[in-house]
Amino acid sequence: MAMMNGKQYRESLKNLKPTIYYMGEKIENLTGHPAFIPHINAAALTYEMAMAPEFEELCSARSHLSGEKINRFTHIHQNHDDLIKKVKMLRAIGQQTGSCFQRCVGFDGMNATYSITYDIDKKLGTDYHERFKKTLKEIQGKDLMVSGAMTDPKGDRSLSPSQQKDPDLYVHVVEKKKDGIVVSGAKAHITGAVNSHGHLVMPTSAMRAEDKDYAVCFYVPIDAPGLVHIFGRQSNDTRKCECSMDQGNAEYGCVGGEALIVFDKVFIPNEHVFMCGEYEFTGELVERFATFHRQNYGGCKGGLADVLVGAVTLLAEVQGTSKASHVRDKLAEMIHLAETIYCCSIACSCQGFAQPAGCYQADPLLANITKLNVTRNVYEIARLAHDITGGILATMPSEFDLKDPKVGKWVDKYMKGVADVPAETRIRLIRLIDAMTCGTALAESMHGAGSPQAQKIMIERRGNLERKKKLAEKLARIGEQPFFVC
Amino acid sequence: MKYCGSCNPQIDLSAQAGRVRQFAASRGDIEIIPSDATDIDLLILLCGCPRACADKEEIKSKARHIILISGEAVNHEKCPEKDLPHAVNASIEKTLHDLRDWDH
Repeated sequence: MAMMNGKQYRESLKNLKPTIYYMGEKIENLTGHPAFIPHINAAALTYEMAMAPEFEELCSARSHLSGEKINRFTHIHQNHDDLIKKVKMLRAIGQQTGSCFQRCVGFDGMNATYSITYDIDKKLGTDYHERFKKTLKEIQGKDLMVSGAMTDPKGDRSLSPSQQKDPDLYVHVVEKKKDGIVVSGAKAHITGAVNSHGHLVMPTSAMRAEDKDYAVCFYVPIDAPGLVHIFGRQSNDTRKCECSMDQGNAEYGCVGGEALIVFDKVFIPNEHVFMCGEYEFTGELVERFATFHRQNYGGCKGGLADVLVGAVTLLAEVQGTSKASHVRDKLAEMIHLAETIYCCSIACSCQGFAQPAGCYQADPLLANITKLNVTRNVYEIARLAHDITGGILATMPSEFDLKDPKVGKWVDKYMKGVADVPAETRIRLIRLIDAMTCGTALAESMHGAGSPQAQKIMIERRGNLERKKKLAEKLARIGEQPFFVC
Repeated sequence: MKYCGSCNPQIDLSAQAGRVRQFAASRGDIEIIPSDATDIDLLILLCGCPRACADKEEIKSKARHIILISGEAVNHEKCPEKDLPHAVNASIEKTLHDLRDWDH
C-alpha cells in the first residue's frame, strides 16, 4: 500500500466500472472522454503534488492510524498545524489548477464522520467509530479519492424528509438486513463524483425522530450495483469537445464536474455503515462538515484569485492599460479581496479546537464568516476582472476564425493590443478569464458548501448577542455594571 | 484559576469563576491561591471558547490536576452554560476525592 501519483490515479479509475450518463449517453470510457478529462487532470494533480518535493510538506501528512506517510486529503487533522496546512495546501493547488480539484469534500466528510462516530459510540455504545477507522485506514492505505455526498434533492423544501410525497427525495434506508442496509434516493451536485473511487454519504440536515430512516451515513464504492451517476452540464461545456484555446483552461477545466448520484436500492454492508437511525446526531454531523468545508474557501478560491489577478495584470499590459491609475487601483482591490478570504480561512484554522475524539475542528463561526465573504468577494473580484478586461470578454471571435485561412488574418489584426505581443496571447488570456469568471464558475462560489443564508443562520446562532448587549450596557451606564465584562 | 485571556468569550467567565469561589467557600476545605503559585493541587483553566488558549503544557504542568472549561464544555465534554457550575463542581469533588485517595 502506498500513495499514488497522478498516473496511477488515472490507471486506478480504469479498473472501476461505474454507471455514468452524460448528454443522454452512457459513458464507457471515462478517462478518455473530453467532458471528464479536465476534471480528472485536476484531481490527478492532488496526487502529483503530494509526491512533489516542492509541495509534499503541505500535500502529505503522517497517518495517526498507521504511522505511514499519506496524502493529506485522507488525513484526520491532529492539531492546529494540520488545519492551517489544509488551507495552505488548497491555495497552493488552486494556484496550479485555476479550477476546483474536488478532493476536499470527501476530506471534510471524513473528518466530520471521524469525530461524530466517536460521539455516537460514546453515548449509545455502538461501534461506528471502529468501523469508520477501519474504512479510513483502507482509504489512506490505497490513497482513494472519496467524494463527499451530502446534499439531497430535497423536493418540497417546506416539508421534512418523511413528509415528502416521494420518499426518495432524501437518501433513506428501505430495508435492513442482517449483514447491511439497502438505501434508495439521490444526492445532488456531488463534486468529483464520477472520478472518485467511492462516496461518503451523509445526511443533509438535522433530522427528527420521524425522519429516522433518513439519518444514515455510509461509504459506497463508485461501482456498487444500483448506483447511477448523471453528470451535470456546465456553461460552455461543448467547448471541451470541439476546441482547445476557447476552453480557456483546457488542462483543468471549470469548477469540479458535478453529478446527480442515484441510489436505486443499493446494498451497503454493515462495515461501511457509520450512522443508521441516530437522528439526534445528524445536525451536529452537518454542522461539523459545513464548518470544515466553509473553512476551505479562502484557500482554494484564494489560489484561483491569484491566477485571475495574474491573468488580468497580463491582459492590462497586453492591452496597454497597465499604467492607468484606475486599473492599478482595481488590481490592488482584487488582491485585497482575495487576501481577505485567505485571512478568514487561516483565522478559523488558528481558532480551531480539539474534539473528544482527539481530532481538530475549525472554528464554526469564523468558518461561516469565511464562506459568506467568499460569496461576495469572489463575485466582486470577477466584476473587477470583467471591468478591466472590457466587453471583448463577451464578443471575441472563436479560435476557429483565428485559424481560418480567409478571416484569420483579420482576427489576428484586430484582436491585437500592443504591437509587440501576438493577438493569440490576448485571446488566450481573455479566454482564461472567461473560463474562471463567466457562467458556472461563479455559482460555485455562491452555493458550494452551502448558500449564504445557511451561513447567516450559523452566524446568528453563534454570534453571542447577549454578551455584545452587556458590553454596550456597561459603556452606556445602563443599570449597575461590573468593571469588566468577560 | 487561570483565565485564557478573555478575548471574545462565548460564556460568562467571571460568573463561572464566581461560582467556583462560592463552591470553595461553602465547602471550607478549599483554598484558592494565585495561579502563579507553586504546589497547586487543582488548576481550573477558564477558557471562553473551545480554542482553549490556556490549555498549554507550560500552564498545566504547574498543577497535579486540571479542570478545563472551554466555552460550553468541561474537559472536552459538551455542557450548556447553565449546567457548567454543576459539572465543574462535580469535577472538583471528584478531584478532591482522588487527592484524598492519593494522600492515604
